[in-house]
Amino acid sequence: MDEENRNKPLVNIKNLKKHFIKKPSFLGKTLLKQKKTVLKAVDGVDLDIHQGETIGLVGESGCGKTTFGRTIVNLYKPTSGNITYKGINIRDIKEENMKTFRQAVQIIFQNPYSSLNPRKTVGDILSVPLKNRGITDKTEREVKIGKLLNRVGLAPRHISSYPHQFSGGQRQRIGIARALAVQPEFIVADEPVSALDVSVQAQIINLLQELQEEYNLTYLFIAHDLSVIHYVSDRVAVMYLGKVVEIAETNELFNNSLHPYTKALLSAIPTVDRKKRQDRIILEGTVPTPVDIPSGCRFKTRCFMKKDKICDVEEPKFIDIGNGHKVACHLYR
Amino acid sequence: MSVHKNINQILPNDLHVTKTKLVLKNFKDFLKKLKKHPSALIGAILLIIYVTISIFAPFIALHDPKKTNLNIKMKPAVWNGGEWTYPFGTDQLGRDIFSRIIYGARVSLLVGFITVMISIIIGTFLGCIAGYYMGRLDAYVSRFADLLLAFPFLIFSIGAMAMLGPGFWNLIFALSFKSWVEFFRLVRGEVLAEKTKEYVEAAKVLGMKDIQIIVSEILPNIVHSILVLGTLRIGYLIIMEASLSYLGLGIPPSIPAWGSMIEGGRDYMFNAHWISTYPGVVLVILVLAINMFGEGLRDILDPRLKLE
Amino acid sequence: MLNVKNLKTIFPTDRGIVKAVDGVDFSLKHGEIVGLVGESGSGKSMTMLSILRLVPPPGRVDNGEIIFEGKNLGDASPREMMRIRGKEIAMIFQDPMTTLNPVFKIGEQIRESMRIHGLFKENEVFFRDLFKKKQKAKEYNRAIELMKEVGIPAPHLRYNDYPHQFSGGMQQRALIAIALACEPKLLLADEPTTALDVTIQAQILELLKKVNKIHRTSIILVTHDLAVAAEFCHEIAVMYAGKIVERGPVDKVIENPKHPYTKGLLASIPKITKVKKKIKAIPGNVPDLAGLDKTGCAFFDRCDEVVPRCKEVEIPMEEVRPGEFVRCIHYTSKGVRASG
Repeated sequence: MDEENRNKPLVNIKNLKKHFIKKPSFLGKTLLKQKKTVLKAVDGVDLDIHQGETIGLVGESGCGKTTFGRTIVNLYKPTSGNITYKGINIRDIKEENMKTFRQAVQIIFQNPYSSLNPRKTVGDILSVPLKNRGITDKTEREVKIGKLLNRVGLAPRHISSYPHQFSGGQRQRIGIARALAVQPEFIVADEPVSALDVSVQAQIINLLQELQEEYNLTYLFIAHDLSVIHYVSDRVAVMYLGKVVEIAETNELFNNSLHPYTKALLSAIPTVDRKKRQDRIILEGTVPTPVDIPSGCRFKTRCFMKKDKICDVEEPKFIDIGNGHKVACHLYR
Repeated sequence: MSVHKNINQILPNDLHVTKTKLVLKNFKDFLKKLKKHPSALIGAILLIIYVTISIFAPFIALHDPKKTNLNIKMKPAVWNGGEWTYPFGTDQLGRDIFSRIIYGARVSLLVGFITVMISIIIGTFLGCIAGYYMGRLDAYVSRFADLLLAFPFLIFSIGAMAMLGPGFWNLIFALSFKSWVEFFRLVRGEVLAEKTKEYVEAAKVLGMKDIQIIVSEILPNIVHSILVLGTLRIGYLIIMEASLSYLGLGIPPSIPAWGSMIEGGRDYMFNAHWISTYPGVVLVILVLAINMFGEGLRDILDPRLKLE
Repeated sequence: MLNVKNLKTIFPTDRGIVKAVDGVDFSLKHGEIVGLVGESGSGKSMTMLSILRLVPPPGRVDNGEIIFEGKNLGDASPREMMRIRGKEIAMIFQDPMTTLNPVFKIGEQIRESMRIHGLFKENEVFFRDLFKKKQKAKEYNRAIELMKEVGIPAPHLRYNDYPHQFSGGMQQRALIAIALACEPKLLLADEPTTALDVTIQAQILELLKKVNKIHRTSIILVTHDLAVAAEFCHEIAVMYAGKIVERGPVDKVIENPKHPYTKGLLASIPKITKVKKKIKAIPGNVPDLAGLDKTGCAFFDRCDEVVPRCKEVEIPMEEVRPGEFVRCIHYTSKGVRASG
């Protein structure tokens, strides 16, 4: 990656927050004195994503990584903060220009069963994005669909089959073809392989990587499986309770992790390689609920390296300690 | 290159053939499943008979259903010792019961069908909008629906008909006014469940408009539930029609309807029971057939059973 | 201790008979942990249910012997099976949320198992303990003890909690407590950590290891994750399409896999190394058992070492080295001879 590209990120995310607010009903408010609850799914994320790279996003369930992905593709409106795509703030995109953005940014979903409309044939599913691209001629569309299916490893004759006639891996291929049909530049892959069998997982990962090389795609790869993340990503961001706590180049992060949470996460990976096994850091307890985030450092309730009072009082800043390795922990001030 | 050429050659023709074939195959599958479901099959056959009879009523009826002839009043049915000219006998005004039943089938089926169609249109439209957008409109429509549900159907329709007066379209208006609520609730619930699924989100990300998403993505997934409920509601509405006609609040007496026929024979129950009995029996069989078919339809079309 | 011989479980369906488990052999010693590894539809969960004789109808165990502590479970009466289930053999399921009953307190659910099996039942005179106070007190104490053992903090308070008040990891701990209530000799764990996060998975596996060490409970771990099995088990068996294709001590299988499927599975897991090697995927899809032609090897269409004979002959399990079994034509002298 040359210097120029590095300076101009494709996607720039600044202090992004997505809160879900649950207001009590009128009766609940007046009679039961219920208060509104705020679920802070994404609570201030800064991230730069550069052209052609794969950013891996890891975290446990409930850490907000899925919400984050969906906010980026504009499925959710951010509560505050900015997402800039190629220098344009998404908030400023007008309705009529939204189409261009929609075609540039796509998402691949986790569940290959609910992400395809069960009542539509593969041809119908793939026609939608092509129509949106302005390909109105039916024959031309069918040829394009045939090519797409070929590209993702299915046969053109599958065009008139229904999703339930396919296995999980094949469905995921259809989902990829759908995202690919609009010729996107940036794809958010939300746990694309975690619902698949191990032997099929590798096929999909390889397919995604081939496509990346072929079309110069940029990925935000969301997963909870660290070995998959390690394999696909150029850089890895670790998320905990709505915030990115550490980000670094993949090898740097895996060999020289700084944040205690990252350390624990890495040590928890089961591995087939006996030599690589290390002393496991067993974290206590579970992730606190995002409705009630601990004050100070949000990891303090499970931290095994908790320093002193400062962890209880002050939220650590997200600081660069060199080489693009950023961490949010009071141990590294 | 060769691959693309290949696709060009096989695809277009191939596709059209398979698409028509697919529709045919789906229909054949449906028939096959219907065969495995005896009660649904019996219901379907009975329904077809009823519909055919009501369509061809003028050709099947032996006499003019409205023609009175007091000379031949209260003739018994064939198996009660009557004659074949009046197979189900005649009523207190000498009208042929068989012919009246046949014309009455038209009324019952039409009222049931038209009311359900109107209810489906209103209920689906409002249900989709309320379920998809939520918000204020949903709150208002839902509360209004709750309000309507608080009235028993019969009481409500009696009140409405008392205000409107008997009449075919008045009846349909009164019944539709409450009957759409069922469809609204069903569709709203299903849309709420469907819209959180990832394929809807995928459609959004592809830049589809809301209306497109509702019509072409969500609706095909809930149309089966609507169909099943619609079928079952037809039976219920036919009973409502008969009840109102029985009370003299439904179809005007000039048009033969089962409800008013039953009512007409009430005073002669002990010496000429057939005036009430046969319309009643025919009504019971029709509603039973509709329910059997509807229940069977639910089993056959349930996508959960079908897909996994 | 447990010896499963030629176990076959079948499901009659519209499309013919599905052999969910097709001739599975394995054995288990006291205090041993065996991992049953396979992908979806490989029959690993069905093997567990067959051992407990809990195969959902219309499926049934068609053939085979399950000898547990010298007793053939195939001959056991339903009453005996009920006694064995929970007391001698306990099971932990994948999804704790659906396994725990949402309307009963966690503590009561732990006690339930002891009550059913009459762990503290006393043959006292009728009037002395009319309300079974003593029994209840003992059960309560044991439940608290168990909750402490599986790492549920503040057990006295948590005893009265309902399942929805527990997090996923805590629910799984509660399930383990229920399973351990009667000190079973064998624990069947069906994907106990699949629904959990990595950090929680590590906690639960650690706990199971502890249970194994302290109580010498034998464990059969069913998992799709070869890495979990590699870390946790003494011996592993790899299943594919209802058959065990390779079985042996964990180090031997992981470091020197023989069956092409095991090799493929290992190659398709991304390794965390400095230099990224391209992962090698197994082509094709996991077979649908319903339409499967069962002659020969079920893996033949995805295998890169396939020879024509793979599909022609029945391939037996061969002991290549003491304790190491492989079901592959390349390790079968007899199979080759039989057709040639």
